[in-house]
Amino acid sequence: GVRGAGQGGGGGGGGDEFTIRLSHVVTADDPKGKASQKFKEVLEKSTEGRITVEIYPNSELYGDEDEIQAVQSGGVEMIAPASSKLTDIARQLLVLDLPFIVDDTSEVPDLISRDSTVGKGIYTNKDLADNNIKVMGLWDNGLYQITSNKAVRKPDDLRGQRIRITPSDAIQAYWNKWGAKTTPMAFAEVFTALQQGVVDGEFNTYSNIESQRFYEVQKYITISDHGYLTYVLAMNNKFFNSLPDDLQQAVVEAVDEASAYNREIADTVNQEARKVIEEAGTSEIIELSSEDRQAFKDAVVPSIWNQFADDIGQDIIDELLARKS
Amino acid sequence: MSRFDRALTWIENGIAGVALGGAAIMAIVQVVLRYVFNTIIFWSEEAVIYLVILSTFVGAVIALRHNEHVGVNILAVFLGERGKRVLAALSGLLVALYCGVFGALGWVMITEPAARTVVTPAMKMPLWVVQLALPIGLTLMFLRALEMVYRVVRYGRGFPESEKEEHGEDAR
Amino acid sequence: MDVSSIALFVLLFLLLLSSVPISIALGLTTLLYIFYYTTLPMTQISDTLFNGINSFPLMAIPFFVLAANLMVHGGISRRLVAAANAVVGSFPGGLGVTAVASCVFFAAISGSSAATVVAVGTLLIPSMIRAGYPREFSTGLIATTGGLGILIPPSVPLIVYGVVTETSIGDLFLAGIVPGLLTGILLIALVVFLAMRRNLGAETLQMSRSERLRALRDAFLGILLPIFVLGGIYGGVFTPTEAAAMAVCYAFLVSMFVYREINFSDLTAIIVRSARMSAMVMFIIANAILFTFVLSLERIPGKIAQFLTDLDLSAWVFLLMVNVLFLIVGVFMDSIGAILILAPILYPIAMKLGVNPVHFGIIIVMNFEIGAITPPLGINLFVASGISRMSALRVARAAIPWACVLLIALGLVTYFPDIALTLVGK
Ligand code: NA
Ligand code: NA
Repeated sequence: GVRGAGQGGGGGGGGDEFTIRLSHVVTADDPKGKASQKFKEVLEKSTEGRITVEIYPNSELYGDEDEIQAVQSGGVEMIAPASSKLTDIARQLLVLDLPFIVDDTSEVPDLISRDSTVGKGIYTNKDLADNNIKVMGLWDNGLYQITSNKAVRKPDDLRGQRIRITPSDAIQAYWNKWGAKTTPMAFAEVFTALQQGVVDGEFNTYSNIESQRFYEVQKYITISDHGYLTYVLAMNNKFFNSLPDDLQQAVVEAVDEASAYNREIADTVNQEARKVIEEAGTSEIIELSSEDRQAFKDAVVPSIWNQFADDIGQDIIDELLARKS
Repeated sequence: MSRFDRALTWIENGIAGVALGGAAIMAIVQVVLRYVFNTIIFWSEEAVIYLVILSTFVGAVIALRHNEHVGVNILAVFLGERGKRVLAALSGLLVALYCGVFGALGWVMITEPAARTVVTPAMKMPLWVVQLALPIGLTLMFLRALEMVYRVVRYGRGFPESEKEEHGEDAR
Repeated sequence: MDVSSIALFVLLFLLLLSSVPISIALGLTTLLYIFYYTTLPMTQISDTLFNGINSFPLMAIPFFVLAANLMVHGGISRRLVAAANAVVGSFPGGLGVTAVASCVFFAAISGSSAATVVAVGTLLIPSMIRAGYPREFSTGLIATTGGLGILIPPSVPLIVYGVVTETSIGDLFLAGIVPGLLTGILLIALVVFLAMRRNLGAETLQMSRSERLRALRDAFLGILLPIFVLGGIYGGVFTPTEAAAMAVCYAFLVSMFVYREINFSDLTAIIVRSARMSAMVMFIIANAILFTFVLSLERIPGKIAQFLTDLDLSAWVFLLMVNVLFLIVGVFMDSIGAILILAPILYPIAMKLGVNPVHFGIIIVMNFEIGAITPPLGINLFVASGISRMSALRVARAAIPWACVLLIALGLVTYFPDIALTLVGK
């Protein structure tokens, strides 16, 4: 229960005990689910029970369509949405949705650390702060793969296919460039939509494809590694400020520990998920040769990157382009 | 009073009917476009959903006017005329309470910062525009709930079991 | 369970007894609970109420209602009844058999049992009484047989079940066909048996071969519709929601331009009527989802599921329990609210015990066929009592023999899953 729990909005100091409700949309076994559990364990231990963390996975409490609004108004204290879902509020976050932003997960820590150019733009983002959202950390999931009912080996195979996307202008732009028709849709609806044929395909990390059983209703999975899925661990800013200083410190430390743990397991969880999918044999896994993958890349890089330079900042785009070459 | 009632009826029927009819047309067009012209309108599903939600919150008002919301009428079996009347008034008051509170919360909801900053995924409309369906519907329903209580107090019963529509006979 | 959880259910129960609509009772309970026992901002309640029905698969519901209304008022249902009469009218108890066959036909184009009772009952209850059937017999039969409306696809409760448990709505629809036909045949058997014993319906059907063929030809477009809808869903051409929209389109074209029984002014009235009928259902769904929001917040489904899992039941006993539970719940809940609240609790346990998800959905819906004719809350009772001017309680009594048939069919389908799963091919 949440009776007698912390004060969700403003006031502060409503007693010594606080409850943090953390709502997310994936299963407890995803990297995000496991990191949430870690956060709960660490924080409850370090605060000796002064803070209780209640985790609500699987869109149980809030889904993609209402969690952002819920964290802003204090309906929940913490959420961990994909970064793209915050891009309507903070355009700068579109940077994380750029296609082929990394080619390998090893490049990630450098890209989004607290002190990197990209990282600073997120941790200290003014638009988010103005909307009562405090960025606590960035959690990794992994690289995107394409799932579909039609074999996808080159960009042209996507022509005319209806692809579910997370609502982000950058993501929509590169899919359209490849020729796909995009439909934004809440995560919890995707399985049913694939099953009922509302959309032909979607893209996700192995762990999400596995935990949401997308592979059961899709014929092909193309290893495209075409983007990186980052979650923004976001907290209601007023709630954070209502915590006593020592508890604020404990929360920050618990987040950091959970983030480190998250980075450690993300790759493993994805590899395990891939094994489950392969063993199920319900979908064929298509490996792309490096030329084939390059064809996807050449169609959208750097054109899409430059298209969003105004939103993201020309300096950041230049730095990213310099890194790549 | 009766002119007010007729105007209200016209508004309720108009919004609910146009919304449902529009949603149906939108959904049909979506299928036809896909199969005949091999194209999609990427915001059509979202439009269908929000039109049906509008039709739901306003249609619920019409259903109240037709005394059609199903409930468990077990106590009424054991009560006399007087008891039934008290029960009907109580029921009307509870409906009014519901609509009053939810309707008011609905108006607050659409004025919150999040309702302005969050936009719908496909149509990119501010949330408050589509969410208006809720406060509008429940405010109209609040008025009808008060009318229901008035009818119970004045005539001894709420809305008649089935009312004739402006056009044609009722299905029951 | 702690005090607050118990308070939640007690409050809901009391509000239901006070005869407020189910939707309002669910919403008020949630409202009071969130106010007293949680620190959630109150606007979260209206936000969740709004988002409860923010789901494309649910949009099939208003469209199927609209399609059914177009068919009732556009002359399709009358032609279906005539065709049914032409096929089975010469059986002993001819009109009674026609009533069952008509319900089967109409069930295949409407998604609710009340709509089926309205469509068939308004046409056939008066003619049966005129032909010498007792009022009880005709009303009880049609009130019960109308339940097929939610078993034979399309079906609103099956859509709701499919949405909350992420089961294929197409598969659920397919799985409803054989149990629906089986129930229909069992009901026809009882009609024939009772008619011969009590010498009812001695009327002989005076219809020539060519008249019969004409009746069938007239109804051809109506009979084609379910094939078009189901074939479209199962062939992967349409999603259930799109299929429902196409049913609207089809019914509109047929009644407006082929049968020419409705004009534009009828059309507006039909749309408004459909808006209010589907709003009633969707409003229950929105409030039931709000109620389940509190259940999730308090983790009640998990606690109940854990309790049931610890009992270590066999699938056989579990299904028996589920049937008893849903029969009891069906006495005073409507199918939609009950499925939304209970399916998420019971579904995971059923899966653990190896029950097929499609089979499980069919079992639940068959329970609510019976729930629709048990007082105090039985939607078919209300509708049938309106048509035949009998009290709902008298209709309920009249429905008992027919309800026994539904119970037998439920038993068969529960313990012979193949009856439901044979067409699904899994
Ligand atoms: Na049906
Ligand atoms: Na009942």
